[in-house]
Amino acid sequence: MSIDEQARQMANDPPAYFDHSARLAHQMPRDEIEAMQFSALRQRFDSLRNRVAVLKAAADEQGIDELASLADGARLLFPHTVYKSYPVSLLERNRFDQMTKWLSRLTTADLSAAEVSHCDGIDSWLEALEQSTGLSVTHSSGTSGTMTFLPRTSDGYRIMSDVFGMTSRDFNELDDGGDARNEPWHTFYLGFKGGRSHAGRAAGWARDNFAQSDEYFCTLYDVDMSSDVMFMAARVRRAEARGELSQLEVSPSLKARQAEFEATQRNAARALDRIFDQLVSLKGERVYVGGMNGALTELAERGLGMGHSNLFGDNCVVQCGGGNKGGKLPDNWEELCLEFTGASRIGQYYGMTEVTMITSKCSEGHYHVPPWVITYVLDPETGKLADQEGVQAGRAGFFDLVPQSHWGGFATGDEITADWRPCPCGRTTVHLHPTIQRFSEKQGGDDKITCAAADDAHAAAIDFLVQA
Amino acid sequence: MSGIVAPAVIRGEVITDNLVSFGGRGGEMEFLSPDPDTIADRLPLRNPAEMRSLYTLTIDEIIDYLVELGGALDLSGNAHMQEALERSYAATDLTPPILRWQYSLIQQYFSREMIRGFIDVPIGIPYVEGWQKVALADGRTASIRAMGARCLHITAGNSPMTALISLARNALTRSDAIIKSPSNDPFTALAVARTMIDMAPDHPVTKHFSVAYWKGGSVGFEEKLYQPKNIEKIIAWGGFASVKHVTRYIQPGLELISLDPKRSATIIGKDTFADEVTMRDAALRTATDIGASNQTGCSSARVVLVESGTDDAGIALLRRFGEMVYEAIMGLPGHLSTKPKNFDAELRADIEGLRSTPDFYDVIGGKDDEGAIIISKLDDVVDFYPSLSGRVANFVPIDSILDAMRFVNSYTQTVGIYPEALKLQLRDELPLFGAQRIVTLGYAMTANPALPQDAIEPMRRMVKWIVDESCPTEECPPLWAMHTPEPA
Repeated sequence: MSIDEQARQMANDPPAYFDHSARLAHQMPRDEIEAMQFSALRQRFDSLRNRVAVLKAAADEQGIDELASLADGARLLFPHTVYKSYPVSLLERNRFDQMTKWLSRLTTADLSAAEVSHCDGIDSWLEALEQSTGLSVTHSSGTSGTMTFLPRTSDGYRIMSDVFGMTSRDFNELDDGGDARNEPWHTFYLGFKGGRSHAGRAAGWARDNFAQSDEYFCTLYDVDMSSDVMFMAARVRRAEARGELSQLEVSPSLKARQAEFEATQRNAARALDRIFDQLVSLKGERVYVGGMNGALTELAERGLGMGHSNLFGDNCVVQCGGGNKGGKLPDNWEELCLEFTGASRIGQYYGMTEVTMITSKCSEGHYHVPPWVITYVLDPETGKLADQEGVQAGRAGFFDLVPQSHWGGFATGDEITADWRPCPCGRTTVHLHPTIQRFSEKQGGDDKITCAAADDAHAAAIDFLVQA
Repeated sequence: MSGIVAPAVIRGEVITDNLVSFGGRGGEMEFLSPDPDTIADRLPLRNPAEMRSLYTLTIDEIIDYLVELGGALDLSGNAHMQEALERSYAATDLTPPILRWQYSLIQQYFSREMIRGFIDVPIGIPYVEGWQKVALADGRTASIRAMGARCLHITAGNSPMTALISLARNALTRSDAIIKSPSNDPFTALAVARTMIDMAPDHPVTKHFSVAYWKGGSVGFEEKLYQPKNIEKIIAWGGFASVKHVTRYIQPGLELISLDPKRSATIIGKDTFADEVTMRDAALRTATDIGASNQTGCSSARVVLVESGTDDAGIALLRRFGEMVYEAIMGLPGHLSTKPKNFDAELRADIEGLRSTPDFYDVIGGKDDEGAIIISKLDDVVDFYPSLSGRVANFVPIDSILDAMRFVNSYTQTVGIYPEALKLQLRDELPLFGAQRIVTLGYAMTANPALPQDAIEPMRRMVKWIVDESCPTEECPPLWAMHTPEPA
């Protein structure tokens, strides 16, 4: 098989190419990885250069018609702001025809036939896009106040879920056990059952890879997280910070759903009791817990208070995050959760809405970037590319080779230290040092995967809705 | 320990003991200052009776002192100020020509007429000079006097003038001032204090002026100092976090006078587009409000609301006006505006994002971090408008002038308006939404400290209003002689 063909196969479906083993992926010799990456990068550029309007404009302006090296990809990284460059008033005024027009410049998908005129919110807009174009948009949590919309395809999610499975098994050393991929786990996801946000979709990954069926799957919220509620939570937070709360308007369609959202909050409180009983009854069983660390801490405090500790021992995977709930989380929440469950660690991941990557810390505390993602480090001030060798600190840029209908090159808002030297853990891939922070916030450490204290956001948005 | 030293000055004494290192903003410079904990006990005026010395002076003598000080602060003959200017280049966000120009404005601010206005306009000299009698309907007479207080000034570092305004306000109200210098200007207030010591070491005004640096938010130190027994008023300039932080210390007996973080806007009425000459005049004035001091002021224009109309012709007009303003910004004189020293990388990314969205935005300039005009094609501001800086403004089209009110809120300070006649139409309306200062276009960045600021009168808040009531029993029926009302 030619290198171009191998690169194509890897980029189009990394889990299949690496036989669903993250270990295999991270053991490829570096020069081989880079040759494959360069080939895949060129293939993506050749295919998308004139089909994604924003890419075409950027390439035209710089006069780029071919990419001559791996480093060349850095010339065409979209700033992270591109996927949220729409006027926010379009969302506030339900101008989803215009939103669709905006999105159409970022994808090869033909959105001209999208029927969105009836849409009265983000939920219904994204639903309509899925129905009429097959485009399956994912969005960020909006912690920055504005939502990023990424025009993925449904295949992209299948791959993302598989990547999550590979990474989780590798990190938790389950690949050697043999049955981790075949036998279902009792799976508890302390969050929403689903949704179109990156975080909402994470519940599905836990279900697919661990529970494998609804029978073994339990979530804190029995519904999907509404994108409209997330957006409103983001707007409320932002308006508060800007002294503009009095100018914030609630759309009638959202107000009409108030009772539904309040019921969701009430049901979650009851679900926590139910989950607690189930966890205690599953003592010694094989259990997976994901979702929000705040809810897990509540369970742990309750359990430890009743004398329940080390419930599952080694038969347990805990992957929770989500921040410190505005300081309400005890400093020793990790210890409490470990003592309660018996897990030896709590999975910490780095990833983002825009990149097909969920990377966990190796034994050395490094986040390894998989071969289907090219790592760039840019000068935070000038945007100049650092050499792709040694240790480099600066703004993270990634080229995600997986997407076939949108451009995978992306300059993040994250400050990273990337390390091209061999890692003592034995993996061959580029790795990131654990201190990662957003330039805009400089308060890193937050797990961006389960990011966004989604339950807090929901509660805050409902509070506002009730008063509005 | 070697390095740049920023001593503390406590009531005429220069303190250089127990130096510890502080990092300036942006990681650019470090300086050494006395360990705050070692001066915490000496900084406050423990015995309020010592303020008596300020009352041995007439207000004219205080004005004389300040005018003489203004002359002594002249850069050409003042080594302290020269040194402060040189050292400030590394600490400030301003570029050297702008900072140098701001230093040169001190004489103008400290002219006799200006200084007199600082006290006479807001309070009236008679009220600080003695007791002013009023007769009241219930028969009593009262005498009112505005007296000084022990004040802490948390000054802002975006302009060296904030330190000088604080000094003048302090002296003219016969107050005792502690200036907490900001990390982006740790040297100006200090140089002024040292000049005061050289000029008149034993003068009561010199003896009631202290300057120190500590890192804002040093809770242990601040809890010790920010007590009613030490300080009666805190005048806090500055950012959201710093003002919010100070509120934790506020208690009965300790008052906060907050000059909060603010944003400013511009309203351009449709008559601006009557002819080319008028349009160019408005463009130069708008450019000045955006570009002066490189848009570092709270009164700097950032969002420009233009009554151009929102149809295609309106957007074309808006764009043409935006281009004129961009050119005018680039043409501003170097002491007023330059290419910014630092450009916010996140803002740069936000602007780059908009370039990918030509259906909704145009960006004029900005490729070289020199400043830019963002044209909104819909009638809304960019979502990141609070971070507009480095000579970047957002031009927003509106169909009717009253649509401008949508963008005014309690954080809005200055609104520059053109044409002038439009001000009369809007001045009763804008304050309903939060606007605080309405000004002729082009003058947003010139201020006169005699006037209200942030919708309060800081001078009237800084003083203590004392009243002496006289109640002759024959005019004022005494309580003890009042009859119990008969039950009905």
